[in-house]
Amino acid sequence: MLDMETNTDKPEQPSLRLAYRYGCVQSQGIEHREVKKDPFARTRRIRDLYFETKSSVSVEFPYWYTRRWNQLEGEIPIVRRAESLKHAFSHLTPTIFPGELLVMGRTLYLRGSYPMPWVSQTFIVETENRYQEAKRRGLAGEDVVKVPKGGGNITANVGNVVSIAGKFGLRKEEYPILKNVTAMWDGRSVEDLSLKYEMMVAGYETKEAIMRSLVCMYDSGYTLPQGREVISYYYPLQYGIGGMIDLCQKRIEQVAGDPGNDGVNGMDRLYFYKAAITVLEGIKRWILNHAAEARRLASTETDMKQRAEYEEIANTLEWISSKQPRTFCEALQLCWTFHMAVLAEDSFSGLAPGRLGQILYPWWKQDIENGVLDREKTLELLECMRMKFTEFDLFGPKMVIEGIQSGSTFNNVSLGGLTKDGESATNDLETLMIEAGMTCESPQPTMTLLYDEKLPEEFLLKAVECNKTGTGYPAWVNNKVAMEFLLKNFGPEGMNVDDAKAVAIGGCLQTAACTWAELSLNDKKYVIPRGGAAAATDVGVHFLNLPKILELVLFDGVDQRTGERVLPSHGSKLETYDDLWAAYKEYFRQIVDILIRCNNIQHDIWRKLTPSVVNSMLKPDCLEKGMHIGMMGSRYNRNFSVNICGGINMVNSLASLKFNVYDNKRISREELKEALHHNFGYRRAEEVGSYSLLDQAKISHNWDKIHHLCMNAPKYGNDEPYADDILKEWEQFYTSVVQEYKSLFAKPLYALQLSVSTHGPMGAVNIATPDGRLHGTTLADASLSAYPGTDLNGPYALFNSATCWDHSSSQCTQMNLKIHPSAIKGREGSKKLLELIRAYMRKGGFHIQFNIVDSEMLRDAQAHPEKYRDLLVRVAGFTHYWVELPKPIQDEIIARTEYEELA
Amino acid sequence: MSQAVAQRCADCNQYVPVDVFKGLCHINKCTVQVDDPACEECAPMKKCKFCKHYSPKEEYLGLCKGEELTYPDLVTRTCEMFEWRSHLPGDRK
Repeated sequence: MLDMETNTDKPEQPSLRLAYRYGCVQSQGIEHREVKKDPFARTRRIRDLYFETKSSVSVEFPYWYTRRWNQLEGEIPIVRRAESLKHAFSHLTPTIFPGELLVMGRTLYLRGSYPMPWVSQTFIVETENRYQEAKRRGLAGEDVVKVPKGGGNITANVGNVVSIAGKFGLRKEEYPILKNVTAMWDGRSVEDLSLKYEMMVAGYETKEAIMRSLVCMYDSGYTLPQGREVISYYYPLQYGIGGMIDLCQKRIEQVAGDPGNDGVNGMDRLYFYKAAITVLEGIKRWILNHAAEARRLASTETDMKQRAEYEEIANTLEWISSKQPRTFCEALQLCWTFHMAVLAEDSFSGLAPGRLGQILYPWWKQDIENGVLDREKTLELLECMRMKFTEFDLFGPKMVIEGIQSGSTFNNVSLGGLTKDGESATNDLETLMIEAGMTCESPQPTMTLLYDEKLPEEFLLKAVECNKTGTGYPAWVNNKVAMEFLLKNFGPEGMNVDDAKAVAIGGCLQTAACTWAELSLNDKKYVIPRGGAAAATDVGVHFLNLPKILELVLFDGVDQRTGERVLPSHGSKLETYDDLWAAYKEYFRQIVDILIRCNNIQHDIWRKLTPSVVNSMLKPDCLEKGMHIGMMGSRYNRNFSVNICGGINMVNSLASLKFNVYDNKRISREELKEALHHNFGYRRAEEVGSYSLLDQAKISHNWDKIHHLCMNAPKYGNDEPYADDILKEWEQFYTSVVQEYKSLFAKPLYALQLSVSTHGPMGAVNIATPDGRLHGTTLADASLSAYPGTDLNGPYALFNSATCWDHSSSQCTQMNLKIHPSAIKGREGSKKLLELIRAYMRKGGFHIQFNIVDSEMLRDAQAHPEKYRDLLVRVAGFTHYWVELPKPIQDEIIARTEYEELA
Repeated sequence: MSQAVAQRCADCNQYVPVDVFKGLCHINKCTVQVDDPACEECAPMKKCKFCKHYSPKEEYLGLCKGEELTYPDLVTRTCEMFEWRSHLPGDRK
């Protein structure tokens, strides 16, 4: 630790004890990533077109949906909704782009999305009234959410294009109809009706204050009610759409008029099956419309090769519009079609394909054996798949789409893991998926490797090679820890060890309950992963700003940024550390209590007004039971959580308070509060336009001493018990206390720890924190990454700190490391990185992922974004284009400790 | 086929929309802007404004069969009710 007096001898220097590099690299310009591969010419053309494409909104889907909805007043709600979805699917304009091998998309545009005013109208058309209401409820985020101008974002009106929701472009010819359609949902959207009933919750005013202060980031019930889960493609792949319709029809004959053993919901089964048939008919029409478009294009195509491809596309679509796919290409197209169909029904973020390489393996193996397909053609198809997953956007409020997600859509393919028999589950198709991730670098789908000791070394090294492209995928997740969490969480609902082995990752890195199924294909039988067996993994209380709660504790419930009282006075004088910790825990409980009550109402309104049909009919066991996911038709229903952000800043701040104020009494609590108020003598991040501690401006030396003490207090990530014990105590409290609260399904909540991009806006609303972090700067990313520059003892010390508690008591944890490319060069370097990963997994770490990048490259990219349109980086659970990340996140990634050696 | 004539690329049946600014020309294999004037090879795309059931209401809004609110640039390739109108005010020859 530095001597305090030393610092005061150099008052012009910031008193920051930070090391942004671990190791020693002799700088010789920018070190490029070691692995760089090229896509097929076809994919390159599509990707180049994508790079030139702007985020575009189409009104077609909401228009046709609303038009049909208005015609069906009085119909059973789920049937009315299904008819509306069918009408929209049936009328979407089919667009096929030259060179595509897989077709169909979210809208008629290459990079498209659309609003869903039946869920939420806020920010679709920003009328003054709605804006003010959103601001009052804390959803505006105008002053803290930054939308970058780069890449495909449209942040201002241009010519005949109107910018909406701060990021998307809409043709001005479509603006009036969007305004009208949106207005039709006033008072009857999930958002509006939720508000009406939320206000009946005791202490509702506190909830609004919590949202305004950004102690909590967003309400999930009307923003992202579905997602962060694994889709199940099994029914379409096994039975085809025609078979699914037949199945539903038979079930209707069985259940119509029969309540079964359920006097409350039994009669609803009829309506669910009717709704499923209706939507399937719409999806079928949607597919056939694309087939017709392919035929139309073929009829006028002069390039014979392209004409043949259009005709092949038409053949594929016509077949899969009703029948079980016969080939890998047909199966892949059908999976993609249903992926889009599920996303179409809701404001849906993070739909993971799951173990796609294992699900599709039977088709691929048969095609290879029959000579229908070779590895080269497979790779080309997989590259095309990557582009389809990359092309679509999700529309939503700026606070959600940019503030939380940075525009990512989180389609996560899981690799590896175990079979039902407990053997390595990987196969050659998964290896090709990794290869496609290298040859066609793109943010979607991201990949996660389910690490198990049984996985072959060469497969693991292939994944490491992919990491060395710098794309950040695959992330590494501990299969054993994930299974342990699943059994703890879903054991009471009947999950056994075999089903736990089916685990896959939904969203960023959320552990998702899955299951197995038997597949019949050309008279052969296979056991394949059936996919997600629970609804959204990541709904509930999201995200809690942990350093902000500490601020409320220190200042007796008052937000120091706005001056508003958020929580009632805790009444404690905070005379001891135990007092402080007790007050923190009490505030945390109060916040969770009010938020989950409001959230349960939102999700209840959602399931009543806009029940899931498409996702439900795929999800085990909804179709078997005749119940959608909102009626707990899923096999597993303990799926609500309390999600947090900034935990490491909170832990470091508690360590600083304990060390400086309580244990050693170097400063008083009041002195510290005064220093926090004055941002330790620095300008605020917003004023200097810099959001990490790397580049800040000091205006006063009055608080140098205190800042120095705060910076030099024990920090998490150094294998030092002082801070690590605080982390352990926090985790034990957090992972257990959330189970005292129940979701609308009357199931306990669970802990969930990842930051996505929330550490940007949440940092923006936090004043300086007792760990020395400055006002408005971005918080520590993820949940177990060290705060940039504070992990001084190397990666293995960081791992010891991170694993001082049991990760299987949380749905996930998250750890990011930034490694200089030179540290892992060559095959020996790859092995070194694999050993590092193994070390973390063997210690019980749940998740780790990497940015393999020279920080100098990131600085150059920030200065010259025009040279880096294709640069990908890992943020916190997702990979994204650098130019589409907001500056607070860019700054944080640059500031992360760069490991230049791994010892 | 109607006498309706596309005024701009985005109204052409050979136009493949890429985003709100541009698209691809299926015939000439090039990128075109939405508002580029239509060329001689252009044939109109099915849109509400070319349908005989469409009646304008106010700027960028109209009615379908006098009842349902709609908008002139709604693509109606998939609309079962679409019928070409015989004449459009301001049509080009």
